[in-house]
Amino acid sequence: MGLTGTELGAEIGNIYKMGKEVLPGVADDYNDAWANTPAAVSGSTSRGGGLGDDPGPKMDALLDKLNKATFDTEDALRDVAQALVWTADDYVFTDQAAKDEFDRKRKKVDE
Amino acid sequence: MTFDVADLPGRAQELNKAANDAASDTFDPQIGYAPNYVTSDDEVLGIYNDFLDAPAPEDFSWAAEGLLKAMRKLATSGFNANKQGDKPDHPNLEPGNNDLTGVDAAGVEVEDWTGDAADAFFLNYGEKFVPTASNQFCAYYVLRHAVNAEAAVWQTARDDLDKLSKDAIEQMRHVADSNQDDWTNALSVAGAVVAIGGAIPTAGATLSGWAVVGAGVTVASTGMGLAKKEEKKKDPLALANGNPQEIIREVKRALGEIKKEIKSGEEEIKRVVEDAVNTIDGSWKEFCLPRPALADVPRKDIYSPENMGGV
Amino acid sequence: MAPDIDFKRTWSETEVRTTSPNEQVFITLRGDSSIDVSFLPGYYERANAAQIEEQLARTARLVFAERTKAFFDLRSKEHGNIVRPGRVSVNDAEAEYKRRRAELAVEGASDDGAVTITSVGMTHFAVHIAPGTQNRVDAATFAQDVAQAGTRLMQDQQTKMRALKLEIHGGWPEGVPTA
Repeated sequence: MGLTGTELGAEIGNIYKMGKEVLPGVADDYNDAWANTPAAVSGSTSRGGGLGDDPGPKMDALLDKLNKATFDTEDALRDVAQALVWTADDYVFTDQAAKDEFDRKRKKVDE
Repeated sequence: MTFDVADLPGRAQELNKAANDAASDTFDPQIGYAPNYVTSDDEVLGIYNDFLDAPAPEDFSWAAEGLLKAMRKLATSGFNANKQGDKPDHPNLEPGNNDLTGVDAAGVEVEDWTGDAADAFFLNYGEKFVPTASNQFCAYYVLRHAVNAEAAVWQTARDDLDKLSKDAIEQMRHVADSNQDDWTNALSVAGAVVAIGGAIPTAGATLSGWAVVGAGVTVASTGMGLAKKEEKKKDPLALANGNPQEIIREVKRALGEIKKEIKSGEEEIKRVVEDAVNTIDGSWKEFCLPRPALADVPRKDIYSPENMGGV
Repeated sequence: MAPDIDFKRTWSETEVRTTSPNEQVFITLRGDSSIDVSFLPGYYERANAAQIEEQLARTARLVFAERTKAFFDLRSKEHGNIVRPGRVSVNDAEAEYKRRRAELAVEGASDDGAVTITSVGMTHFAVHIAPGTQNRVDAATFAQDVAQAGTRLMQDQQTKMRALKLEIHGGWPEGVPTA
């Protein structure tokens, strides 16, 4: 048995909130993470005199992965968020109580 | 005034002057210079040259700080942001980022929302989001510690160079003393043996490779003494000082030890970072979730059966 | 590092004061070059030669120990870090040097022959007062004799130590060449 009435409206409202607010918030977090992740540290590790065994290039390789993961995740989150907003907005309500509840919830998110 | 490798040429000059003074102090017009008291200006003045272009420990703080900022966003639970050198009984606790759990919560109750894209979103994305963030966090954790360990390597090298170059001058100034005043220079050659903390907070992380990466050894404290895996101090390096040539030879020997410590510290850092890269490469999908189908569905197709299912 | 201490000059001006165990004799060393000796009034007249010899020998040992401490304190000030005599020999040459130093016999005597001080390794000291000295020489002169003997001993020690150092560490394969 599916949801009806205000419960259904609330759940679609929840999807809207996810798409409008929650996922973009996480996407922002990933953007922060990406922005703070150095592109490279090998500039700092380079040295003369044949000293040591420079770990810079290996660290850069790891940074590449961190940068890619955070960038791609942010990207995906924003696109999913958009899809969820469409999902909520385009849901065809047959139940007036559900629609009213959804509209009410959507309005709260949009404030 | 904090010592920096830029101070080394000045120290070499003082050393050279002391060596030349010792030679002329012991010069006897009838027998000439004592052979072991004759040193080469070029050799002494250039003795520290290999270290003049060494990284400074502070060169790494920007990167470590950036990684920490990123970590705050990806922490699925609270964590201890202490780095080596911090007191273990004063943890630097950072809160987790609760936002991350929000990804796993949309539309579960909507029975009609049963298309492939919807299912895929729930099962392959929403539910896996937090563990994946955990894996990412672990990688950042490892790298931040590696960067701090790298800084520690250069900190200990710099401390050792500071002490060695000063001690050498002091010895050389008194090498020709004819009193019962000789002494053995005990230089403690410190080094950084890399550790990635006691344990990586792997709660929720799914990549088993982190356990391997985390089983490292501890970054030594700066200053004297090599903290080995068992946190034992290394024996000080005793240097001979019978005559100026011997002092120069012994300084070079000590420099060789410092070079060895730098190399072994960095080799460990490289190994740890490389293990992390391999762990990630072996399981990229657990490190970065593949884009869910939902992300690429055009608006008009949202409610087609393969996406959201019937209404 | 405390720069620019003219060590030699500073040391030569450094005073080290020592009192004999029986608190009757006072020695002031200035660097490694000059010594002053004085007695509490009446001590020289009251004590017998054997007693004075013993006090002076024990005091000589004290003087040298305090001189060494003051010397290393100045070295420490110059260096900016604690400097103390090494205990461990790093190689054979150093071990040989320390062994020979510990066996080194040195001596100093006053011009009038009244006082002779000898030492082995600067740890064992003996003082010999020529028989009849207390009858011939007054306290002030005797004090100067002791100071002179001590100064001569220090000079002897410095000369022999320098030679020992060059012999072991100088680097002449066939030994120190004679002029």
